[in-house]
Amino acid sequence: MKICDLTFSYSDKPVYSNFSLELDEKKVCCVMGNSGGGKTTLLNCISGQLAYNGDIFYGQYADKSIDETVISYVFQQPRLIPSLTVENNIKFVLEDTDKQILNNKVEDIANRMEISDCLKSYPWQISGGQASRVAIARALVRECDVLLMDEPFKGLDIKLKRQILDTLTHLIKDKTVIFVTHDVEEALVIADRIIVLSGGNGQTVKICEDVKINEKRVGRDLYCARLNEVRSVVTSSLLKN
Amino acid sequence: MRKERVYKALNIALPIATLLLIIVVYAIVSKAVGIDMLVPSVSSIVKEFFALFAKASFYESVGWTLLRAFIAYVSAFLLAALLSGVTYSFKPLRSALAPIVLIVRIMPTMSLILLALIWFDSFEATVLVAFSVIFPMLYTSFADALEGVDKDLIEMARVYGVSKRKQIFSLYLPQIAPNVFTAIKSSVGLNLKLVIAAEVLAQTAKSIGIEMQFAKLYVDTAQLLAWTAVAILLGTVFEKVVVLIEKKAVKWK
Repeated sequence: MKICDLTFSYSDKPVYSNFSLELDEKKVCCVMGNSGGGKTTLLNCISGQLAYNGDIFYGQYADKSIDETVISYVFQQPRLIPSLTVENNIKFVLEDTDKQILNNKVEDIANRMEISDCLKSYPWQISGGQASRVAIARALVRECDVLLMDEPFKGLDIKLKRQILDTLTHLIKDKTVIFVTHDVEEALVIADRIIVLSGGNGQTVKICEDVKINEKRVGRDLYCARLNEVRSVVTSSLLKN
Repeated sequence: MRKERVYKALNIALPIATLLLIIVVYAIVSKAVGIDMLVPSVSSIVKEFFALFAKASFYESVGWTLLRAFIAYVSAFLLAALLSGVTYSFKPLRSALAPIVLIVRIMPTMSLILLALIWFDSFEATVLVAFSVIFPMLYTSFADALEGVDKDLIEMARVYGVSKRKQIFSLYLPQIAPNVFTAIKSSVGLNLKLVIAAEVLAQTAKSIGIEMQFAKLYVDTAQLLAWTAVAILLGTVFEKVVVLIEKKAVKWK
């Protein structure tokens, strides 16, 4: 994905001015930065919710406009439709096809996200953690090229977060993912690359490549060492601004 | 649990008690006045009420009044739904419609009835009067309900490329349903009241309004009150039906 000369401002407050960035296809890129630094704005521009100046391309040769791609988005808030059951909230983003196929897809993703027991419940009947998982399930149930995730694990306990991160790493293998987070550990588990945005003008200040590390494979000590290393790079970048 | 049961029982008992109190107070007043022609006794009203059902003209009058009320309400509802949908998609049209809606809304009902009587026959006039009052009420409620649909959910549906049809049936309609039902509940009884008022003034043949007018002319207060009871009963039935439909349609709340 190629972002060229992205310029966007909220009334008179500029967020991005001629911002450019290239992202590898079918890789996970974590976007970190201070609050108000333009992380969500970047996702909203990519998803077409905000009108911006500049170009965003997608595809192997960055030859397709982003508007032509299929995007799934896990918003900061779950954004579940209160009148639909959890099951129908997930089905909402799927095209109407064979009922059995739809049911199988929903059942499969619900099992992976461990929300099978609340499929018939309405959003107000489930916990915040379950609602977050439903939102993730809704984004993953659909075949998409680009997956945008804006702090998807907000409000989840550490155990659940780990479980979902494990599941997620398998499910997003063939997708271009942009993952906004404040948590370096989340980034380390899931991301191939971390970019740190400066606050105010949305310029990239630091890019950490090949960050992904598997604790089970490398052992606790090495994992912690790598975590501290990346955390120190990210923290120093953020504190500079 | 026990508290809930008490509240449930009170919810049934209290309205009945209030109704009985009104009847008792009325009976005392009737007794004190002592002129049956002016303030008839409860028993003569009840007798008159049941006597109405024995007359063939009763069903004809009620049927025609209900038909007028139905035409006025359904056309107001459909036009309000259509225009609120159109103005939601094309905002400048809402501003263009605003003065018309405002004029119709604040125009005195009496001048509306009198003008309608000059320009139309009595059937059309009664329908038009009810329509003119109900339409702006429903239109404003529907338009406000549409504006109140959660913008975050609309954005979500747009990002996911959900079809317009699915958005309408799974997102918009359920979201506006509670406000729509509130508007219907407050306007369905009013619609009947307006039709009857217009019928009285237009002296519409075969109508509840004309029956009331006759009762007034003959100073048959018992019959006038019996017809009033019929109108109240019909209005109550409409409101209860709407509540039942609402319970079925908005069961997720």
